[in-house]
Amino acid sequence: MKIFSLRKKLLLIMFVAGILFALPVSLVTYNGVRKVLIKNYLASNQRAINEQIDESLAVYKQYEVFTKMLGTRTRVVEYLTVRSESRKLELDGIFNDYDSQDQNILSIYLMDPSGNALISTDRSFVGQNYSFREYFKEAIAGHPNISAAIGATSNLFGYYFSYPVSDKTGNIIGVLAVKVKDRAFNELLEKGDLFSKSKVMITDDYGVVIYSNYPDRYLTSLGPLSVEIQKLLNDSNRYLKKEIKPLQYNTIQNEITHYSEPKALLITDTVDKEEESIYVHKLGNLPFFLVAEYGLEDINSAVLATAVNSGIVLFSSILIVVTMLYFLTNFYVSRPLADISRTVEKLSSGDFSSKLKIVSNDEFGLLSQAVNQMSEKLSHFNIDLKNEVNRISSEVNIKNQELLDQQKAILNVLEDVEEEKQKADIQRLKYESLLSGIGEGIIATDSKTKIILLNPAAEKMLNYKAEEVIGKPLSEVIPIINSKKDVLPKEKRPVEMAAKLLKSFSVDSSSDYWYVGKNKTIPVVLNTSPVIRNGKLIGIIDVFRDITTEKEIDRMKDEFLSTASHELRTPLAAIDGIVAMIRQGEYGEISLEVRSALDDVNTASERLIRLVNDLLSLSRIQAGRLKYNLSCFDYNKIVLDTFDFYKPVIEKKGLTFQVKGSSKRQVCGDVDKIKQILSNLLSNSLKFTEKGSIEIEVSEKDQMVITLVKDTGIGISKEDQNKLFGKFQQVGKQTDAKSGTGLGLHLSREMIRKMGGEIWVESSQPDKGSVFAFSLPEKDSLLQKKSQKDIEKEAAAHPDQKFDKMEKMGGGVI
Amino acid sequence: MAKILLVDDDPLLVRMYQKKLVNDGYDVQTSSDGEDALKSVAAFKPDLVLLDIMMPKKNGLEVLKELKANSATNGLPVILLTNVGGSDEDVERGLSLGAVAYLIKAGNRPDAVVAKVKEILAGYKRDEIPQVKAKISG
Repeated sequence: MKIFSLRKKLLLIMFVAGILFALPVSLVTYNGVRKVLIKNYLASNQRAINEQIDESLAVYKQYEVFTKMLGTRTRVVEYLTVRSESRKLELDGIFNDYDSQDQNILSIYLMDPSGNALISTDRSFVGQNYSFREYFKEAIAGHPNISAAIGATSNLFGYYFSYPVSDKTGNIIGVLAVKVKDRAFNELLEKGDLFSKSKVMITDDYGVVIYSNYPDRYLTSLGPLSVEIQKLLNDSNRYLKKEIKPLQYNTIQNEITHYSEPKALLITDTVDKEEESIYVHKLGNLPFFLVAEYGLEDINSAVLATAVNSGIVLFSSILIVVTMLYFLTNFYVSRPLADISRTVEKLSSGDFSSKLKIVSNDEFGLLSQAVNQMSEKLSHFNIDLKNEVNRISSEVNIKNQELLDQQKAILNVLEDVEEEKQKADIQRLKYESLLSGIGEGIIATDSKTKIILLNPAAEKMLNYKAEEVIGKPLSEVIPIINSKKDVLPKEKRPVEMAAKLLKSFSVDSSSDYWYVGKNKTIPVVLNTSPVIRNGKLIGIIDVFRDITTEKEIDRMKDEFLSTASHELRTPLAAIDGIVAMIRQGEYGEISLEVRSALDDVNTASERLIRLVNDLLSLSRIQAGRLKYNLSCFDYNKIVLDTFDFYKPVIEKKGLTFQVKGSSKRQVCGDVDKIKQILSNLLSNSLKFTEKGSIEIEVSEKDQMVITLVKDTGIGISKEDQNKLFGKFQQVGKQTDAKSGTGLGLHLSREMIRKMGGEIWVESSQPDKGSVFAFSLPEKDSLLQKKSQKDIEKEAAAHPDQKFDKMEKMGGGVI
Repeated sequence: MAKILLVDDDPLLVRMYQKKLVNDGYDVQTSSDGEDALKSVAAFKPDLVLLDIMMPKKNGLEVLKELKANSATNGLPVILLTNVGGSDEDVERGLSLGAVAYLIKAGNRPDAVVAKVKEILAGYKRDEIPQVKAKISG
């Protein structure tokens, strides 16, 4: 066997560990050193820039003071007040004197309040108008100003210092301006060491470079200029409409337009991908910015050198340590181990005589001692071994017997299990016969909605054999459609919802659900429930019934109602019409006695017509076939329309009738139906009130508009109030003439609930009068949105919905 | 005296409306099915037709279509008579085919029907629709 000694392994491990340790240390050093260096570098640059800015500001200040001095001179004020030729000459001389004293001054000039240059050391300015310039605009508004621009007349770049000239009363009567060469400031910049180390730019307040030691940057902008700024630049003609190309310093541009304080930014140049440090510093309160850009190459190389040095030092240390370890392990580990291994080898070959010399007092010493003892023991053990072998083999025989016994026991248990299984089978058979006996279809699925059971009723209804569908997803094998053959989306199926929400879902006969079986489609009602054990969904039970017969009966009922109503209404119309004509004398004079009899016939026929109408409405409502024409409208108008309609009849009976309150809110619903409900309450009040008043009161509460109909009529007792809204309910004593169909309030309640409102008896006392109330939800309230959704859903489920044409007595004319 | 053609298959209603119209001074003829109605229009030349929708032989909508397709009768005002159970679609179709109005038979007493007839005839006189005027004067 080739030995890769422990020593070598140890050394290798040490070496690798050393390298692994050295690498991160170098990296950390690199980054740490870099940070510190960059910080120092930035700080020293910042100092240089601050100094530079202070110097420049001093120069600006000098010209600012100069301009102010000139602008406040008495002679200037006097000339602007009284423009005599002699004063003009005098001023011209003064201006020229100043101009010649400072070669940086390009011109000194004086403008009247409309911006016309009156006097100027540069003759070409005289007569020109500079009212478009910012410095003029600012000064004439009372603010001394400094701005940079290219001269419109001279075509020379310069700084313009302006000062408003005021008379004694403080009125601004002109502007004095001094144009200074940019050299006055640039010279300073060029002298400082900023220039040698960095790219320097002076920009205006929009980020347009007006000076740089990189001349190609002159009149470029740091980043793209917004359309707004471009327009401002054009309007003031600041740079004579020269094209201004954007550089790629969008961040800096942004820093300038949103300047808050001096900043040093580290950015990565998008062109050469190198990191740069950029300073943005506003020149005092002037609209100029100093932007200095430093490359970080120097720092990077300095940092790299430091990192490499520290790496080399670490690596050498590791080498030294590893070398020392090599010698140490050789002495303390390898030699004793080699001795021990030789002795043990002898032992294994049966030579129990050799003994180790115990040399050291460490673990190797102990090991040598142990090896010696073992060798002694082994020589004794060798003798005992044979006896032991005999003993063990007899024990093995006994163990074998035990195993056989165990096997028998297991067989017994298995027999018991089989018996249990048979019992379970019987139980299962019981359930199965139970399931097959049930008339309802039952489908059970596992928690993943895959079918695990289909009872015989379900098999029959869907025309599937259980084995055809078991194991398949219920939603795929048995789709649900509506009568228009639209497939119900999987996520909306009761079985999927039950699995997801762990709730039961029922579908009743008013819905339009059809199960699609094999070559067969049946309308169903169903109940789908999740089966939950220990908080976990284990399956879903879907119980359903074929309602083909019910549907058919339903259809026949509708058909019957429609036919019956037609058949009833036509003869009724004839009776009603002919009686009316007889009463109106169309068939000749009639006696009072006959007239009174005909009045009764008329009352009866009107009542019958109402009853048929209400019955029709009721059957439509119950079948969800009453169409609602939804819109949102001003509720007051409905109230006033109804008021106008009822006013003559109510007042004819000697009652007062008025509307109180109003609501500005919009309500939504079917206008005709709301009118019908209000009319119903009013005609009830009219019917049961003999003297006093009827009143409509409109108010608002929460998100509802509440309408009260108050009367001073016969009132309703407490016990009768509860019955009012049922079907065919009439309370109190009634004379024939007054009796209604007993459906009006019931229909009103059905309709108002559909529209998200409610109707109730607010208060009523026998002989004192009643207050009926109904509410309607205001536009966009939760209730309104929900009711609208429900109505739309019902309309979608019943494409054969109809308005009640009886509501629209008299038809229509186009 | 304006001439009215009353078309309905229910003799009870026909008699009732006819009585009222005659009492109010109209010259009235009646038909009880669609085919007869078309013959009557040609022979009687009415100023207005009251036309039931549900009728034997030819229904009201078919009659209306033929009247509107014929240049001699396309200006003749037609009021549709409809039953309570009749469908909205029929009414809408009738109106789009050129009927001027519709009346629900069961919901209107004879005086309301006559009022509607007067209203329509007056309207047509006011608006002086040429074909109608020609009919009235002729």
